[in-house]
Amino acid sequence: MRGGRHPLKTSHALLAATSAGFAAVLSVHVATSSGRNTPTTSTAPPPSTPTSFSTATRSATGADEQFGYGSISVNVTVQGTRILAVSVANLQTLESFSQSLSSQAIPQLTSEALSAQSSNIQSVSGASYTSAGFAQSLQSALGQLGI
Amino acid sequence: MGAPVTTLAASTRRAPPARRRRTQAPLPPPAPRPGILRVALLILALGFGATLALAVTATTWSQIRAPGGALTFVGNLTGLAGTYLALVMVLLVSRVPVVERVLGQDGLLRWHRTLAPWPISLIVAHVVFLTIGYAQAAKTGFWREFGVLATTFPDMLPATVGFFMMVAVAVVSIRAIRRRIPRERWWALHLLMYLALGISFAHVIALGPSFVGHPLTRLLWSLFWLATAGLVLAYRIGLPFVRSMRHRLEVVEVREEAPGVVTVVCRGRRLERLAVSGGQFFEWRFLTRGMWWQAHPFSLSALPRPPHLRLTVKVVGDFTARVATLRPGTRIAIEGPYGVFTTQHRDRQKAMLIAGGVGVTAVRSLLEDLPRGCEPVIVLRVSRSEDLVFHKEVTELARQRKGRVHELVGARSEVDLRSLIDLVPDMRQRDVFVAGPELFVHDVCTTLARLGVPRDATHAEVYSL
Repeated sequence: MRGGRHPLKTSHALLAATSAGFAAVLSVHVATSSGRNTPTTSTAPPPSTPTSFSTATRSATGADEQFGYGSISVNVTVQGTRILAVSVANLQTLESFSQSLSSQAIPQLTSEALSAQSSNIQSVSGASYTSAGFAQSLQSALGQLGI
Repeated sequence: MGAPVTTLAASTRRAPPARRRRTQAPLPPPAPRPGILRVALLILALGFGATLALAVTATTWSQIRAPGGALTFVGNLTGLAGTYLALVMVLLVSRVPVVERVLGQDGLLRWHRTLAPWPISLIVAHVVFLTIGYAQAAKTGFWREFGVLATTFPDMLPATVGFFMMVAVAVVSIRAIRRRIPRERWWALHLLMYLALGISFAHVIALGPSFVGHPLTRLLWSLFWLATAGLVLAYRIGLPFVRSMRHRLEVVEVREEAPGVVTVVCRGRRLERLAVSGGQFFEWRFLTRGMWWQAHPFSLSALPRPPHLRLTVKVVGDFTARVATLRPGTRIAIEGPYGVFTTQHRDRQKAMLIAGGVGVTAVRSLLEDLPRGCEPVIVLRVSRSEDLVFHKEVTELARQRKGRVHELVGARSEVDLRSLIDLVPDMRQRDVFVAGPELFVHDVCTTLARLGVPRDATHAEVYSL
């Protein structure tokens, strides 16, 4: 292509433009994701004056959280403020691969929730979307119970 | 008195004299704007960088460390990059006038062919790496996972069909194989690429991690596809259709110019609105049995003289043989004008035109467009003196421009192209235009380079079979 007389060589300009586009999207991504919560943490409930909870066993099901490849809702059973059991009320995925992936991740997420006694759990490697949806739905369930 | 009144009444009842139709001056062809092309290229490069970043930002370290994660990431990256470049390939041949005026149809086709291996390799890599990555995560074999992906994932069945179509088109377009297939059949196969791309679109936004849950990215990607499709529809189909309808060309006369060379004279409406430069060509579609489904490129052999157009064709195969038997009244659909073998691409005051065989057609119309006083030197290179077509016209046009004509007659082995420097000693200060068969143009351009003619002063128009 004729352009040899232009001071800026075409190939250099193209390389610069490609890098600029790459950098632009990268910085937009970093800026927006640092503002949002990272998938591994959910907003911790503000420390409230301890109210007396009845020691009865209560359950709630969290909101159905869309996690990109499907949706998940988590059911939690508590006694007082202590989490007794966590289970998946509903799991729907786009396709079978996500189904098997999510199913494999759920036991790990459940045991983490029980040991952490909150929705502040580590994301399971390879299933970060499922983990995020799980944590958010658990948080919503706990919120319904006032925990 | 009745008689004069009657006469007056009678004369007013007669039809008024026909108004003299003022022929408008022909539309000047728009000037090429290389600046716009540079900006478009930079925007495309910006988009490419952004697309790569989309793939990179859609993953996390934990996902890459998971089983199959690394290859899945590479699969996503190659898929995005390959698809982006595939759209660039489509844009290159979309015949957008702004771009075509700077690079020319043949320049664009050259870039299209040069870029071609990249999108197809990236897309093949995309399929292979993703399949292996998913197979590793699901702990199954490659082909089993391929089957699962193709049959159970949303929008994957059309995407898989599209993939095999793309591979078929790519294989058939390899030069060694393309040569063995008749041009029309190869062309029909190649057009399937549009279909392959179209049916593969959906799986990207349904499954790509950059798009799932990211409505803005989905929108931008879809807009890019829509814009590309829009350009193709507008400039490959729409504009040629509008032009053909506006000008309503039809064959008026077919006559033999020389043994094996025929001239076709066409008539059309409003040809002064057809902004053509001398040296340009059209894709001609003669709307008659056996020819309507093919479009072939032929140069105009003279500037339009409204209401007539003239093209000259050398009979080399089936199609051109049929051109020689065209009947007057045959309607014609055109695409174009295309080509950068024009006076607008000159940088220097003087010009030199070298025509090999049938290349004289482009040279003859380019010559008509050169300003007087540019003192052109025309070299007509033919095998036998009977093949000298338009010799009288060329000589007269050259004389009007204070130029001169040389004839180089003889077989390839007899004529030494280096003698050109003796014929035209100031060759290095001229814009040199070369037109003719591929081998001829290649030989002449090599000789010109050796004789010291700068590359940006050399303009070539290759007549390919």
